[in-house]
Amino acid sequence: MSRVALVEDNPDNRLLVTALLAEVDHETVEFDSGEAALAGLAEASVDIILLDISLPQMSGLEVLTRLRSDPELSSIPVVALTAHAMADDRAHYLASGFDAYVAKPILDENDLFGAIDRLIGKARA
Amino acid sequence: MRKPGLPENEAERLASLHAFDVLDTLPEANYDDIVSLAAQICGVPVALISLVDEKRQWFKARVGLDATETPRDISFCGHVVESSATLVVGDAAQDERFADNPLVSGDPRIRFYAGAPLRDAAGHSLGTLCVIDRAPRELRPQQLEQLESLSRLVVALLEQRIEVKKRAAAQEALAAARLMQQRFFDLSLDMLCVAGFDGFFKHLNPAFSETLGFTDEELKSRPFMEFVHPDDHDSTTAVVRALGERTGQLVNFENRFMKKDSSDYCWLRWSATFDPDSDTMFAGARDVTEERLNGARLHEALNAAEVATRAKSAFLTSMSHELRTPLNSVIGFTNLLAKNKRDNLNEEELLYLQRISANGRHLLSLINDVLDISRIEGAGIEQTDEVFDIGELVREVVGELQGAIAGARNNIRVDIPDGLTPLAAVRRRLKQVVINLVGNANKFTQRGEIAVRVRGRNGCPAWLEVADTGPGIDAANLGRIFEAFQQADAGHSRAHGGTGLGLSISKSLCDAMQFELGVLSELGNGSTFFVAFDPMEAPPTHIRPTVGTAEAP
Repeated sequence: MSRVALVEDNPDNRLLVTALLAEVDHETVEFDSGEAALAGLAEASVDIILLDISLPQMSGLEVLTRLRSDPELSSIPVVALTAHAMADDRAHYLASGFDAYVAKPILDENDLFGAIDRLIGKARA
Repeated sequence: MRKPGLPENEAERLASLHAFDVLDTLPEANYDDIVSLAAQICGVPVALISLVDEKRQWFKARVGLDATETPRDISFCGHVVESSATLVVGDAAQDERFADNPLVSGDPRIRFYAGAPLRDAAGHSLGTLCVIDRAPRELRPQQLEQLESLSRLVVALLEQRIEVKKRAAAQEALAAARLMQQRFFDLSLDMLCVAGFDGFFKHLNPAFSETLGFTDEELKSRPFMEFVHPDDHDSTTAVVRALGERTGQLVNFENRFMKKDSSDYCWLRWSATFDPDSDTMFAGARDVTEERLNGARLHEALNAAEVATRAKSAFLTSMSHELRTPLNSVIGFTNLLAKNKRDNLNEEELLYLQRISANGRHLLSLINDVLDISRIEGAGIEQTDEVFDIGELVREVVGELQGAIAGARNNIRVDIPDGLTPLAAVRRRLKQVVINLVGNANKFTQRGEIAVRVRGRNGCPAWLEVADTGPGIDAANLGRIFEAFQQADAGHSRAHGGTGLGLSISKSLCDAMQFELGVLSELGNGSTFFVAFDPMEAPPTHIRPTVGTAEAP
């Protein structure tokens, strides 16, 4: 069981991802904005962060930059979980520093689970 | 009587004589004075300037004789021309050459003759200056010398005549050239001018007044700089200074010029140079106001188009995101329910959930395809060609679709000749087309055969074809197959899924890559889709689906 941070402004999507993660016994810590995440993540002690890109005010890319420059949080793997899924988006976000990319809608939840397991496994190894 | 013979160079002599263009001209005082002087010096009543042509001798000047010409064969002067030497006959009646000459036996009863040849610069004797008496006589050596001097004076006069004529011709040509220049100057639609380094126009063609509205006098009365837009003073002054260095280099520039009837200045494009002969500037100018305006308008339109393209692109990006977000809930929660409540739902309810999920996915495919097609049509596709092996791309696609092909129980054959040169194209996009074509072939074929072939010409990839043993397409539908949302048989859409946009997208992609996408098909005979990499190398129209049969068409 792992602790997963979910930064997502859409409540329905938060509900869905939390429910999906509960299926495989991951505990989800929800944040509805980038600012809230940056304020709360240090206390939350999570193993991995699922980060939406289109967030109100501070974008996911900005949140990622701040996470990477925070010594306490910089080593936590971050997955882009986004509806930005046009042709070149995957390559673009991986190049921007995300550890993995999962497109919304999530057609197969195993894609998400696989990415989480792989990154946490790598972080613990 | 002995008739005078012809000199050796008679033809050249005659040509030379005619070149003076003097025969049969009116008397002239200079020549008349010379014959008077000759008669006086020699103390004889008759003196002539005689010019000898083919048949006669003609007198340019004469004193003491009424005749204006006599036949050449009875002339004394003919003998001088023949020998090209001075001839003196003391008493013609005693001289066997002339005693029975009608000019001696009859009028004017010549007894004494002395003639000096008129030798031109080339040595031809054109005729003589001669003196005649009706009594026998002798000339002192001094008189003879003076006669010869006067003969040279006659030749000098004749030569001067040619010079004068030449000069007149040159002047005429010059006047004609000036007239032509003036006509062009007046006719030119471009403005032409001469300007002095004192800052004033010297000559202006009518196009100046035509363009600017000022009269010729108005333009010449003020320094030309006063007509130049204040913001262009510095650049214009620099040009005048450059011309003032008098290197003769052509200077091209543009500036704004005042118009009489308008508050607007007009833009003039100039071409100017320094003229060393007159120490002035020669310049031509053209009103380019409209041209510059059009350029600005075009620039604006291009900018607007670019802004619109960017706006469209941003809209598509945002649209994609906004449509996908709610679909995440629809598909995600449906899957969750179907999985977790499997045991609590009856068969019908489970079917409903599956339908929600399937339609959610279909909606997602539609969104992807619609966005893709608007993006290709709006902004084109990425233009960076890569160079790659087409065979490798085909095998990659077939590998990725292996599961679906096996699912439809189809056999697939790949036929790619060895040693083809690499292809230059946008690989990702071509792969999208090949996936679509092979995917389509598989979608519409069950327990059949699919063949993917690449054909080369001269070792270069020429076209790719995907043939199937599916139901084929009837002629009526063949023309619509590449239109959006068209499937040959609406029933197939339900049976096989798909958005009906795949071929339309493939067509747009091929168009953007300047490939030709085509199809050959008959109902009941399968279909062959082809992508021709060079439209000039399009496949022959007789290629037919050949899967499952012998290789030859």
